[in-house]
Amino acid sequence: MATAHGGTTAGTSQTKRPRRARGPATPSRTPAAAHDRDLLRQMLFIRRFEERCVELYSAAAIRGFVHLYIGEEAVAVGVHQALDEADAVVSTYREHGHALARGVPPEAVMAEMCGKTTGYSHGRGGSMHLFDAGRRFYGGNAIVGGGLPLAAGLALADRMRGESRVTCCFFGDGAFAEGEFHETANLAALWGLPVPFVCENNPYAMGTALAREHAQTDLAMRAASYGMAAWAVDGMDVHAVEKAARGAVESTRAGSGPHFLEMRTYRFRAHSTYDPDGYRPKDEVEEWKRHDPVTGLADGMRAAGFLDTDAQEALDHEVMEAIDRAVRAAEQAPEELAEDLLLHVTGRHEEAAPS
Amino acid sequence: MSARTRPRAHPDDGTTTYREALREGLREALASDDRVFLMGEDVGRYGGCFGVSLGLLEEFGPDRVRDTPLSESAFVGAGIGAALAGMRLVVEIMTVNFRLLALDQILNNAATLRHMSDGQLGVPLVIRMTTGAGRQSAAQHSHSLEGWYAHIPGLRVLAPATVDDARHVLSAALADPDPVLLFEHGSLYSAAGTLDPAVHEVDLDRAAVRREGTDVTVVAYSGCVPKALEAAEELAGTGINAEVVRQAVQRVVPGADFTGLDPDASLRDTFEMDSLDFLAFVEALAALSGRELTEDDYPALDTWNGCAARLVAEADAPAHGRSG
Ligand SMILES: Cc1ncc(C[n+]2csc(CCOP(=O)(O)OP(=O)(O)O)c2C)c(N)n1
Ligand SMILES: [Mg+2]
Repeated sequence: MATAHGGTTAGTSQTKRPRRARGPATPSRTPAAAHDRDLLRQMLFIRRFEERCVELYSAAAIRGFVHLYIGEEAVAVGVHQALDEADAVVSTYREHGHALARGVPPEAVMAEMCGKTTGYSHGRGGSMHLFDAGRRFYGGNAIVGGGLPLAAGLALADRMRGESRVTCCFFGDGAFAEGEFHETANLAALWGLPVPFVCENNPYAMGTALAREHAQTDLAMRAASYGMAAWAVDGMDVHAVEKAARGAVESTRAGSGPHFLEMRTYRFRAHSTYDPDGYRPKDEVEEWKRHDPVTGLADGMRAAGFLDTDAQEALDHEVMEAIDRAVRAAEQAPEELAEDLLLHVTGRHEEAAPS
Repeated sequence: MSARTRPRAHPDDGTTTYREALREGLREALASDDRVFLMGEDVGRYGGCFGVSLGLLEEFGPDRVRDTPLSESAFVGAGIGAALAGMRLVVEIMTVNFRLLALDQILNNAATLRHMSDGQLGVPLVIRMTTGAGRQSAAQHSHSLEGWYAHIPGLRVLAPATVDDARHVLSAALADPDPVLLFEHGSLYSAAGTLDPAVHEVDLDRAAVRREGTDVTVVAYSGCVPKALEAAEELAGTGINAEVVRQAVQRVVPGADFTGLDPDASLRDTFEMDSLDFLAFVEALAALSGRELTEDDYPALDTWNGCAARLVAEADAPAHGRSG
């Protein structure tokens, strides 16, 4: 699918391009290279976008709780390679990366974060509640585990209408401890609902480490006990994520019921902009940073001859320009009027009419 | 079609029960709109915890009359998700007390998504459940939490009281673009009455006068309406002519032209109801339960023109709640 910040995901058209008959192919021109550049662009975009959010938060242009995705970019970008435009996505409060990977325009995301009316929720949702009904991006949920049942329902509607869409549901290792996860996993498996569950195991729920919140920390194994295919994936490796997601989504779409992917990942920053991050050893953070998904991909691309310094610089420049544009647009956009507070508390009757 | 699949308890005398009237409403909705389905614990094979959906599984199949596991949060949340995707569904929860396990989904998702997404995501979902005391079921099966839910912006709270209400409330609720909570009083299910052939719909925004009267007005909802009507008959024997008004909804919908009671149809000689927030009114009455009220008691009562009122409620204990 195309994303709004310039990239396209692995296009099959590219793989079908006729091969040049003579001479060795330039590595940077192969479909694999183009695909990797696209992955890198998207991950880099999320990284820089999040870094800019930190600045804007310090300047009080963004307020409220902000949860950064830095370190986890490979999960959103890799998983989205496997999704179509018709599919749905249900996310969490740590969802800027999911929204951008889904193709929600960065201008709209940034405006929403800044509480401006050019955000898709008119600035009402803010950082934790990005919604884009048109792209079937159903948020953005600040209740841990709260989105899981919604995903089952969206998928149930598709099942009942014979649609071959899937509803991809992101949530964390902390959400895995919520009753809503277990109720939903059972329901989805019982009814064979088309839900790829993507658990972002960044092994902390705020300040609580995985082993302090789960008696059995092998989450994939526990998910499998509900009767769905489940496995753990190196969530710092975008290729591994993409491969696993394609497998899970294709199988889900083909009708074999929900799948569960435990993405082993890490957040490099604190839980939220509110968190002094005093609960985990610094060398643990440093160790995970050695597996940085963005630099990891870039290094691999350089080694394969897919990326040189010029291309890297051009990419950096392109990404920064796009983010600058989004920030400028957000800064100039108006805030919602206080008089509009009561709009959309309830709907109009015409909306309920058969479509 | 077997007798079991088309149950009708009183085919001869023209009466029906509240339960059958609700079932007819469900049957009509399922038959007329294929987006509609019913989901909940034991709604299918068992026929509904209180027998409301008896026979509907056989008629509409297990996809559309869908039994769920005991996972209130998951299946109410799934109902919200399916509503977001364009289905029109009715979720049944056995009783109001069990519904508390789904309160997060009702409040944080169903009632909130529309506002938080600036109108992008509406949740046209109907949730039915049993409410009320009076059946010797003790506190955990007897609460009347309508008032609680009425405090949540974005929800519509309804409590059908008569067979006409029960018969027609569902189509009105399904036509609503927002989550509607239907509270069915447990002691009413077997109550029989005659459907008024002239009534084809329920007005969700207006109260209804169930008995004309001139001396005193009784406002009630749900299981209290039949009791109020009974009381009015008794009063008539003593020469007092009581009017009984069935309250329409429990919450004033922002922007809607709704004052809780219809000033033209009722109470016109007693006081003006034009700008009265009915919820504030009920709260005020509840706070002052059992006392004679005057203008001095509560600012909302200014609109009462000094008229005195009394809220008749049970003692403030869990096992009683507001019993019917
Ligand atoms: C039901 C609920 N309980 C607690 C919180 C407060 N809270 C917000 S995020 C969070 C940690 C969630 O951890 P996890 O699911 O692993 O996601 P992560 O933040 O690591 O991405 C907590 C406890 C909440 N928002 N909702
Ligand atoms: Mg976590």
